Amino acid sequence: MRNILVLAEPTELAWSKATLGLVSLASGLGDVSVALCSVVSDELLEELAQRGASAIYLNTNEKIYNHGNSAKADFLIELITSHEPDAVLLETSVDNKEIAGRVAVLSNSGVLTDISALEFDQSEKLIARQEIFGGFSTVISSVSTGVTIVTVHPSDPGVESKQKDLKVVEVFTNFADSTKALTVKMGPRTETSSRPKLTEAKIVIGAGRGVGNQENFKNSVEGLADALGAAIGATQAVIDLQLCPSDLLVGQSGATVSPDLYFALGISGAIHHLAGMQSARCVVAIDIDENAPMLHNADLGIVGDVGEIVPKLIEVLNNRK
Amino acid sequence: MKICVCIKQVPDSWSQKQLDPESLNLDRNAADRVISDGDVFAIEEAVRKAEQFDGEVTVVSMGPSRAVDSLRKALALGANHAALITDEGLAGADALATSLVLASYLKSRDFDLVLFGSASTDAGMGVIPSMVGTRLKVPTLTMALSLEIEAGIARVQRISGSGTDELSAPLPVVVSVTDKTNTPRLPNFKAIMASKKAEIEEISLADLGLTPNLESFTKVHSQTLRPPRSAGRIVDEAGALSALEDFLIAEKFI
Ligand SMILES: Cc1cc2nc3c(=O)[nH]c(=O)nc-3n(C[C@H](O)[C@H](O)[C@H](O)COP(=O)(O)OP(=O)(O)OC[C@H]3O[C@@H](n4cnc5c(N)ncnc54)[C@H](O)[C@@H]3O)c2cc1C
Repeated sequence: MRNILVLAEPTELAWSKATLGLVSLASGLGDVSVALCSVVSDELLEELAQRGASAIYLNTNEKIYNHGNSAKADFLIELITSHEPDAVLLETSVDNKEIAGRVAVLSNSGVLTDISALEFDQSEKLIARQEIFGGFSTVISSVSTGVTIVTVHPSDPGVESKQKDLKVVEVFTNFADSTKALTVKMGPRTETSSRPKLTEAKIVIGAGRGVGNQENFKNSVEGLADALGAAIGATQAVIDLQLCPSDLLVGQSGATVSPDLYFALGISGAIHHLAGMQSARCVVAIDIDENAPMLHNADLGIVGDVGEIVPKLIEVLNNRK
Repeated sequence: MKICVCIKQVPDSWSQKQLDPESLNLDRNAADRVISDGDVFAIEEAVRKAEQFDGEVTVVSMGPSRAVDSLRKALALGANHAALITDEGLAGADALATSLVLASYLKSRDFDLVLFGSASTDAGMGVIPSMVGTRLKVPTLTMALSLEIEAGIARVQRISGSGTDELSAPLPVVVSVTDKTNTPRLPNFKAIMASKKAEIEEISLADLGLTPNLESFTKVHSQTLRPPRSAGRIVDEAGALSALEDFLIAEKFI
């Protein structure tokens, strides 16, 4: 049986869809062990067991959060050395790419980022589908040396009970000197929004410069997001206008989303923005300029004023409830 | 203070990109080659730190010989020296091989500060700074919103989830910057003219003590281009509400 190691983000409330998706993906490939940086509740461990995880490697070095991404990489290296997995799976994110890069060097292994699917071919080789250039191109690739290290955009296939007996093994990692030399002072956290997570939402309302100002952002963008239970994403122009926090940026320099519906409000459709959302299943766009490229990338394009149309649409939606 | 900036020449970020259909390597013949957008912020940060600490800035790029154009641009932006690592054996180098080459160069020069932009606008894996830092066995501070150096300690503000953290480590360090770190200056005429005549050091794999056949750890088997999204229905403002409602119902969003 092949061994797959998954890095899971500890959580107090519920696993992210990405973590659950990774464990499910891994359980289709082999025996799953999960690397966990800190303790979580028994209920959460049970949920991983239901998805097919059979071992938890629990880090017991409390300093893991004091030394940044390198410390998590050193923890994974310890596990790779002692358990020799065939593959290591991480969710695609800026932090995890950094971790994957360090792990690749230290384990002398190839790394592939932005993977959307992973399977063994007839010759027992792990083959990955990789989205590159912001998803404008899909390549089939593989790691030819060492452990297959991948960062994945997993979809959550849902629970398909593969209940395993779960063993929990405590692991104490001694971090490298260069890891210990870096210290992290955590700043205050802003309240997390009650909306779905941008990268996991089924519907994303994309806000562009055409939204105009803070008042329209509140009325049109937040209003529509609440009416549809959607997450909010934004273009660079909107971030620059400081209408919303920068972690909502969608595109080449920000998040990649592939929701069922991307609802673009006043977004021209620059290639840098399309790179982050063009794999959405459906796109609806509202733009005042009939030549805006976004309208021509949409299943439904409305030529009109966001500030006029969206409040009326919200009313229609709320009346249906 | 000895500072090095690693830059990459890439296709213009406005262009549609793909791998070379024959070799499945990055298409080296694509037109419009420029310095990767993020690297310009790294050059600016290097020049500012050199001004502050009476240091020297070297820019290095790994790539085909035409990457000298980007190195000259970096010189015009204030770098003092430029080096091009170029070799037949580099064609198709993946991230791990690239990091090996850059780290071999950096090790031989003893830098205090190595700067990168955030992910290059072409392949954009975003793994190179951490790979290079790991190979150099020095701390890597990534995605810096700002960089301060005081008494030999580098301090970086960095967005992390819903907050901002401060990362610090003693020099030497590897840092990757973002478009928030600074506002790059425009090159002046005198600097542009001087950069045209500047000498650019050329370095081969052998010069770095590396074998000509760099091992790539990953392999690309095939490529498919995403078909462009086809345009759907365009409706004007008068029909907007009913079109939107019908669409949302038909696709079961409401
Ligand atoms: C290297 C690089 C990386 C980048 N990365 C990103 C990235 O990750 N994400 C990103 O988004 N951008 C990115 N950009 C910026 C990108 O090129 C565009 O500038 C940006 O996406 C434009 O945002 P926008 O569509 O909101 O604004 P604009 O292009 O100004 O478009 C605004 C649109 O709103 C319409 N409009 C105006 N008023 C109204 C109204 N009342 N009602 C309806 N419509 C209206 C206009 O007709 C227009 O189509 C990057 C750029 C570079 C160079």
